Amino acid sequence: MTMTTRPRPLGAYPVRIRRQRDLIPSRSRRLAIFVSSVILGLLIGALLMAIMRVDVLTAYRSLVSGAFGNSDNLVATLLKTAPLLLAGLGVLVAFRAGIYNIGNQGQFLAGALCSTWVALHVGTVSGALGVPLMVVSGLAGGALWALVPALLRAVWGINEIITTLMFNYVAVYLIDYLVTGPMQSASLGVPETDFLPSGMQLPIIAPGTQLHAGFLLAIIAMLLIYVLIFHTSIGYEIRAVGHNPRAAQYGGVSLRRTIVGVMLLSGALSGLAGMGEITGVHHQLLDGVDGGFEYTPIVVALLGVLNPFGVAVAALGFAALSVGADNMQTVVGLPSSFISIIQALIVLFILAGEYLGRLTIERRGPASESREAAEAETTQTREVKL
Amino acid sequence: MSETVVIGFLTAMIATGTPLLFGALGEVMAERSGVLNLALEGSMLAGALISFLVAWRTHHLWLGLLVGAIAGVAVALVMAFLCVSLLTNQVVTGTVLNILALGVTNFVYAQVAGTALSPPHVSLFPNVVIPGLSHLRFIGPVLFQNPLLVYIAILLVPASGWFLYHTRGGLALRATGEDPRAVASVGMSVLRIRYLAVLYAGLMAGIGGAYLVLGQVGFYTPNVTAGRGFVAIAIVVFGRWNPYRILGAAAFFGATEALQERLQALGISLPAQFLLMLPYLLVVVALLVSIRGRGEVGTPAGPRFLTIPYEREAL
Amino acid sequence: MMDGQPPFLEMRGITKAFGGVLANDHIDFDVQPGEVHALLGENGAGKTTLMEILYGLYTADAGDIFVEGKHVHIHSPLDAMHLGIGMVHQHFMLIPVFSVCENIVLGMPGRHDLRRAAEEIRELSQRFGLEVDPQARTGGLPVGMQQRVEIVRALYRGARLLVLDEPTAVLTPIESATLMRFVRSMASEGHSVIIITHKLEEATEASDRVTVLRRGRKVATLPTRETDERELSRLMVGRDLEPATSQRHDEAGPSCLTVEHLSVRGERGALSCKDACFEVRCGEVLGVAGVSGNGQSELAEAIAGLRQPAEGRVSLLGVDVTGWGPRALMHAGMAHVPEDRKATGCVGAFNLVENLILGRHRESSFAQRGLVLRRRAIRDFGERTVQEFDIRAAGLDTAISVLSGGNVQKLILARELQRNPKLLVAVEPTRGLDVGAIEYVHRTILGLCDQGVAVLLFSSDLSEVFALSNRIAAMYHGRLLGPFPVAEVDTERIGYMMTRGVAA
Repeated sequence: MTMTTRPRPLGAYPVRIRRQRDLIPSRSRRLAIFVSSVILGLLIGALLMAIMRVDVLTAYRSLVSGAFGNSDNLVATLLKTAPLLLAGLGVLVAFRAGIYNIGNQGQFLAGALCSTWVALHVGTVSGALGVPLMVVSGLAGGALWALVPALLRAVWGINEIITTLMFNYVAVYLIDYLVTGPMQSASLGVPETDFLPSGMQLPIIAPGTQLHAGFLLAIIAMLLIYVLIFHTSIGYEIRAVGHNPRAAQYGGVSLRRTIVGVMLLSGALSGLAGMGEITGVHHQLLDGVDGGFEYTPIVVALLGVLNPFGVAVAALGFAALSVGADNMQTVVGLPSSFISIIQALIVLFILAGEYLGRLTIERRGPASESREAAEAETTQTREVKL
Repeated sequence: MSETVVIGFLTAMIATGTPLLFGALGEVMAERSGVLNLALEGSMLAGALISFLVAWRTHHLWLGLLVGAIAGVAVALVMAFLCVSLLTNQVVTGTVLNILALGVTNFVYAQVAGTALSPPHVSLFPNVVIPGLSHLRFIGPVLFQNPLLVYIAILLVPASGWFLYHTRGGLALRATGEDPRAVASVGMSVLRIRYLAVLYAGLMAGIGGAYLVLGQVGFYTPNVTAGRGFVAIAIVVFGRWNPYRILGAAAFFGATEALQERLQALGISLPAQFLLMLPYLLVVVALLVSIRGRGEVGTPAGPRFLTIPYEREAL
Repeated sequence: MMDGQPPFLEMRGITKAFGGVLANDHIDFDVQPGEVHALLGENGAGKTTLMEILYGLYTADAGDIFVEGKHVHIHSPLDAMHLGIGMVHQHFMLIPVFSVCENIVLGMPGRHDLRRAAEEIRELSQRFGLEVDPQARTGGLPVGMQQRVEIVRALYRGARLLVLDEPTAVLTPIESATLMRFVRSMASEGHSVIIITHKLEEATEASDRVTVLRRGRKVATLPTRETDERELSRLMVGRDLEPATSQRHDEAGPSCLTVEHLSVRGERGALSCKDACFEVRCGEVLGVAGVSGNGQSELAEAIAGLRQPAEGRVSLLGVDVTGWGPRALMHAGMAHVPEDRKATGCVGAFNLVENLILGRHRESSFAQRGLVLRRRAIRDFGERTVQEFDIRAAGLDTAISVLSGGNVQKLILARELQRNPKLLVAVEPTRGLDVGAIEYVHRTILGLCDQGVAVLLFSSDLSEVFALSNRIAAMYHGRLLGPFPVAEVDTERIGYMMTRGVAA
């Protein structure tokens, strides 16, 4: 947010390119930026491939078939999509409120930890109680991990970027300690916990494959978050706070409650993702259970323009690229890091495109001056009392 | 607890802390100008890889350092362009740049040295022994038998302090993070100041990364920095954006890592991981504690306009 | 001030338009060396624009500027500073964590010798009677002292002409007196001072000449001792204002809002509103007349729950609501049309219908169990409201940013009124609106009174205040004068109170 603005002095040019700070780029413009960024990224990829004497078409084709080519690959892609989608939804919720929760990794691990601990301590449980119990533990673990940064932000205004970042590290070390110490499996003798009792494992939803219910959970979460953000009063408040905290406050929204609530929900979603990986894939807690996905959910959330369905598509895209990259490595010898380069480039182009999206070309004249003067009337306070 | 163990511990502390110190001393300038440069990690990684490759092929450590430093600056240049000129979100841009840097370094390394059976390594920077002082008991071997870069890092601390607090340039830099409009109102260019600060951070990170592979470990592995850039950022916060405090914080972080490797030898029965997570928790505590105090930066979480893009307007 | 000498500054024929509205209309203005010249006018009269042109923040459409006889082009504050023109804005540009010395020295070339600079600053400040402590931390200084720092900063950079923008707006009477003494001593040293103000006292206390602007035109330039405050107030506010014939009379209904000894702090920590006491009765309009910046915003925000009062009590229909937040006040029957309709009154990124339910989004008619939004019900409500209140927009999904000011205000009014409030707090409700929209707002407010709603109106437009109010108060320098039944006052008297602070 910026303070009082004043127009620029007149120059000599009849036409001027101006950046309008408050302009929200139209949908068509945003789509254009997105599409051209993707194309540009792919072109650069193709260029690099050409330099390395890799056949571009084969490479891209192996990428696609590696992701979707056969049912095994498809399942692998979907399996990778689920946690990415859940964590991406967590990021979405926080960012929509203007809260920069980058602690999804720690919250993921906390959810994994909590569900493992509960599973191992509760033991075998009757009937259909296992999975709901796991879901709750995953949610609770993630939410708890976000609680301290949430309170620090809501009550004292302490920057959540730094606190959530720090908590990521704490989580990683905590897990390491636990799987090499108190929670280490006595029988396995490696830094892993015991396997979870069978009642606590997510059931497979597509027989004969490894596709577990975590994928369903992710889809359900996507729908629920969509409803929450766009069809409930709570979502309305979250969006209002994210756009204009002062006006939200004027409209009776409690900023503190919104911040804490959003952080807890955000953490819970990442925690659920962690739970899914434990109970669906590994069935035990071990180091590196987050599969190195640290900050990808943030990128996914942004690519999905903070819309649950967009995030789903972005998550699917990222998952597909990761899975396909393995195949691409086998077929044309390009390492998977190549794909992450293309992914990152595309996102950077989109970021840069945001700036372009706010540029307007206009003729200089009295009309533009009055608009500038009108904009000059706008004052926004930067800090809002909580 | 024998003397050699303690000396070994302190020496390790300095070795581990030096890359962190470089990174933090660079980052503090960027943050003082108002830019949260999360891409520090990417700069450090780029510096590590490039310096290693150059040193490996040319057998010239210092040339490797130089080129590695330039690589760090290159990453920072992209960050500066996006965040300062194009006003993108600093958190997101930094995060994505790190992902890009990781991808590029992994890719390049795989192409160049991936198939070798054992990872290639280089010789380390030689220790520069300071005559006379190095014979002092205890601190002699610890402080005065280090590679040149370590001395440079330590000397950079008072140099940074002098710059920040005793020059007009440092005054302008600090002002930019606190209130860019005030800076613009006296005719200075916020853009230029922020660019220089971010590029400097990249330079320092590049050197830090170069020291990591050429001074500390002697080889490169994918993602060798493993988050040290973020640790450097934590050090800046812990050191409350003050170079002298940052030195202490870097030593502290270096010490905990050195300590956790030697816990058994030192007869301490604390799980190593708790020691490792301690610094991070302390950063959070430090933030909370500094709420009340009147620090030298605008808010407990740093300069007042940290992470806020500045848009040039005729006041 | 010496006659016959060439003026230090001369501005000739300055014209500046913003989108068809002439902010400055061929203004001639000059300042002699060693003169204190007050530039007097209401908000919107054009005085700030004129000085911003002088300081290089805008470029005039036409006209010339001469400094010491030489024709100059001022394109930026740097140019102005080089010419010896210094400006102290209403909003200070000081860095709180820096010391006074560091703030003053920022951006100046040369070796960074804070000790010598501190010495020079001390000496300079003493010379002008403006004591500042160079080592003090700026953030901890009282507002009056911060202003001094700004002034010393301009002087340290070699200003020979100092422009002060509403300098006593945030000062206590003692600080104001000190400032005026300083201004005179500056003048006696050969420096010139321009004081931009809307306050008569400020304009006449230390000045040699007064130039009155109204609606972008220069109305008069008079030597201060040849005029008096009554004449100036008349020139400023305008003789062509019809004596307001108000249809309103003093209603005697039950009390709706009672404010007792309310004091509120402003942005910089000083009390912006001091010891306000008044009540608004059901079915009446209490109009608080005052040029903006005299504490009305803070008072309104405190009543509406957006700001915590420092002292005092607010009661709504007998219930103590002091310190209540906006939601609770809404439930208690208060509605608020804020001063800044675009930044506070609505969420710019939301569309029309989403803004219409701001504040009511949890009501059961719009959300099932207060949770799930009833899209259909909301849209129906939106359509009905747009129809009823004649809000002109392309559709319910239009973004707020494209709506005209008038339509945004209609939207806000519609939203607030649909809640059937008992009290409406309206701050500058017709600012920036065209005639039609103004009429609409006035009709709406009067209609509310007929329904027994109490209205607390803050406005700097005297004709509006007189047209609508049953009782009128004036606000000046944080203090409320009155309220008086409308029959007992006229525009001249109220205008005097608005700009002088004392009942005439």
